[in-house]
Amino acid sequence: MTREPVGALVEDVYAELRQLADRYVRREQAKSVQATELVHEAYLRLLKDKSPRWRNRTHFLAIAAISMRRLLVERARARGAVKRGGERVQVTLDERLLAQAAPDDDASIDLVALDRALTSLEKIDAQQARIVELRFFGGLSVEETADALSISPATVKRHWTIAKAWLRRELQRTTTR
Amino acid sequence: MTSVPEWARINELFHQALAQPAGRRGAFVAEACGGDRALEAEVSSLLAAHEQDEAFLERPAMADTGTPPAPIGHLVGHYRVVRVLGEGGMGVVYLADDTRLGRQVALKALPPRFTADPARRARLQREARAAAALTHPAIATVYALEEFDGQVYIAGEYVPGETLRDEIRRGPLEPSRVIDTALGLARALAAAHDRGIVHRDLKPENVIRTPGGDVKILDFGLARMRETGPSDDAETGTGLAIGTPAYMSPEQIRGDAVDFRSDLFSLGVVLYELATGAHPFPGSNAASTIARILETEPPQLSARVPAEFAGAAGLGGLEAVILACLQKAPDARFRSTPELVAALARARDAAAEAKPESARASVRPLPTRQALWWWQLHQAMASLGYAVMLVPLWQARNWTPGLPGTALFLAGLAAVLVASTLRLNLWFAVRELPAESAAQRTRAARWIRIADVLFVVVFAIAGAIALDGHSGMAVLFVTAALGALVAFTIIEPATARAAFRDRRIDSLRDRINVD
Repeated sequence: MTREPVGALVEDVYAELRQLADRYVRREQAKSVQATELVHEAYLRLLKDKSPRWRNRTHFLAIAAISMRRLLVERARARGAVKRGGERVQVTLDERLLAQAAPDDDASIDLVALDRALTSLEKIDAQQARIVELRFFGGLSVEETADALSISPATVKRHWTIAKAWLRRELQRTTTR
Repeated sequence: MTSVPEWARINELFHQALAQPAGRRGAFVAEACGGDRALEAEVSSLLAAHEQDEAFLERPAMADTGTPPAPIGHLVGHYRVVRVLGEGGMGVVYLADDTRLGRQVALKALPPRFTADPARRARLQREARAAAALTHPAIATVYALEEFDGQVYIAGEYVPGETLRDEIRRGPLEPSRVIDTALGLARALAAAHDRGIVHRDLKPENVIRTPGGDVKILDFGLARMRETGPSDDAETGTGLAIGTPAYMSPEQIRGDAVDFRSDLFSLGVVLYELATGAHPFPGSNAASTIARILETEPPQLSARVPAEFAGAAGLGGLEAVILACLQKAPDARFRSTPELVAALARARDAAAEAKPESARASVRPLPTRQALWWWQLHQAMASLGYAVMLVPLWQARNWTPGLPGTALFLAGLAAVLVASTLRLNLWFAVRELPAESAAQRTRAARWIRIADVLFVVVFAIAGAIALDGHSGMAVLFVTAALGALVAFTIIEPATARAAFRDRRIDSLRDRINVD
């Protein structure tokens, strides 16, 4: 799966996600709506596109995973900026929604560091990095990931296991707690 | 940084080591690396990271804590998830298409805490088996217990319709309808109790009124075999966590052993609420509700039903039944569920006899579909009529030059926009999203009313202005104002009442005659 041609699609999906997030919060449903529902609603809306530019559902989900990674990492970065006490960045409404999706306690994952580690992993094993993107950011199951990458579920599981271990180790190395 | 060819070797060793028993891995890696210290360090640090936290990244980034991701549009096993139906203590419930059998199911994703250890899993299996054995027209059937990707699901019958909670929100039911609802519920409970299955979590949210007017009880998935004793209760520690405090029996709150009589208590609370619109043990929070359930007697039912039902036939019988169900001591309630059914049947018969034949005929409402059709027509015509009236108002703008004319037109435009948009929105909601439409109607009603009043005022003023030299238009404006006034004060409430309040009386009456 090459990166270049999906660029425009990612932009669209990303815009759609942001828009939906804003709308939900404005309707004051933030408390009851699950962030995941929001993503899936975005999926559904884009799937209904009259002239789909993606080959099939899994191709689309794969693109959405890239968008999700970008959206979440950007949010995490913005939150981090606020917390470091710099100039008070205006926290938009969807930040509240996403903050609730990823609580900032010690157990939660530093998405910015994870993103950096994942970029390193891409250089070593692009497919494994892609699997993490699909599974973790895209929320795809093992089977769906296998389908999206045209490999067997067993291969996905193997790659997933070692990629997780590698990332975990990488995060521990970089974390200065 | 690891180079690429090395990475392939590391992968291979890592997986080979994982295939070894945990205690042997270190030795295996040392041996396999044959003195290559860098390689050995690389592989064993990865293994350590792996063993440290297997749950790492397993929950997708967007998943909320505690609940599994909503797989809308995804295939879960052979179920295609359509949308979220609801969410409760027992997890998220989805509407899904069973792609193998081509039917719609309610797919309940159980929270991990219910399926975490083998003992609980085994219990779940037992309960699902017991629930699946229950086939009763008033109980939503359990089809299957499934596990996909480590997540456990219960697939069950999908029952469209509103919950009793929606019904209670609209206000108390007529006593004879409460009795009928009670009979449906009691018969279903009797069937379950006969098999030793106790619901344990009966509440208005767990009962669906089907479009045909029947009731169906959901969530027998939580029911537990009667044989499981109090020690089992302690193990789950769920006395309070599982049920909803407001509908729990005193013994359930105390954590004592629970049997079918606990369901009778919960049923009593539900019926009391249906009849009066209010909870028998009202509390501002869980703690005060619990205290009231344990200690206080409910306020007299007949004093709390709406005045219009005060002398209704069957109220006395119903009150006696509810009072018996709400006894604090299980022994003081009905001795068996069939006994409750019999008492309700007697109350119903007494009510039917007391009701004169003529009175029965006079309450015949419009059939649902027709009433709903009239309501829809009214909404559409009102919206259309309002919009059309903007044209003469635009002409009238010039008769009072300057600001007043324009202001009047703008006020009229605002009124028409608000009233028509909300009406069309409701019209759409009732057609497409019947379950949510009740709440929407309540929310929109006030704004529609304000816009209607504004409309009438604007057109009355326009009529007054037009009197000066445009008498034809004056008549048109005043007629429009009066028409709108009559429409929203008399016609609309009437169509709405017919369409949404009296929907199920016909089918209930049919059942009374059949039984």
